[in-house]
Amino acid sequence: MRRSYIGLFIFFIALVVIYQNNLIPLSVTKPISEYVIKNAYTETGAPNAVTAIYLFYRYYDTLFEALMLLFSIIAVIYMSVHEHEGDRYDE
Amino acid sequence: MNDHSQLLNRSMGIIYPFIILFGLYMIANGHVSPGGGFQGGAVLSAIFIAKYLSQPIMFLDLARVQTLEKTALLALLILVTLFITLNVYQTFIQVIPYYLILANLLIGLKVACGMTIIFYRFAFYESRE
Repeated sequence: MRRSYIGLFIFFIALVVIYQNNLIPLSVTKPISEYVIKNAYTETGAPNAVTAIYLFYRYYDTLFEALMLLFSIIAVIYMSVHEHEGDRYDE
Repeated sequence: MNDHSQLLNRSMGIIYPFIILFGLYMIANGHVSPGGGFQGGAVLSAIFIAKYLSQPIMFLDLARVQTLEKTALLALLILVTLFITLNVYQTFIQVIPYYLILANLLIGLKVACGMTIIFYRFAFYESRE
């Protein structure tokens, strides 16, 4: 029952986000790549534009990517406890 | 992998410092040259794979390694949040490269810990003999 409430809550939030997205349409006149190639060095001082993107223009992406790696490690630890049962490494 | 080859042991012992140097170089120069936190961290985790190849014994406390990884992620969250909210970079643009290096270091530490945990888990817990 609690899980279905959580699922309903997430669905509601998704609806709100999609609605907000429709309220303010993103109007991009030219490709983002041109902007990044032109302005990445002057705006961030990083000659490597890839780093400028993933740590400056798109930091949310990097944060959630790091979080996803943590989740995958938790999954590996959870799945691989068949042998040495009762070890102190098992969590 | 249980027969201890003298050749493998010696060559892995020579390789360690170069792996550490290469990984740290990739992380520290992530904003200048190709590379970055994720790649450098994956290279750093190769230290423990080389260690396993030469001496397949469990010497790490994986729970402690995971605590270190979580701490690195928390520090990264705090760093990025502070960087966004304080808005220092709009007046002092020289701050940004230091932020990039710090964030790359934290990401590298996190990825190195994570890859080490995954490798040791698969090597010692999933191996059927």
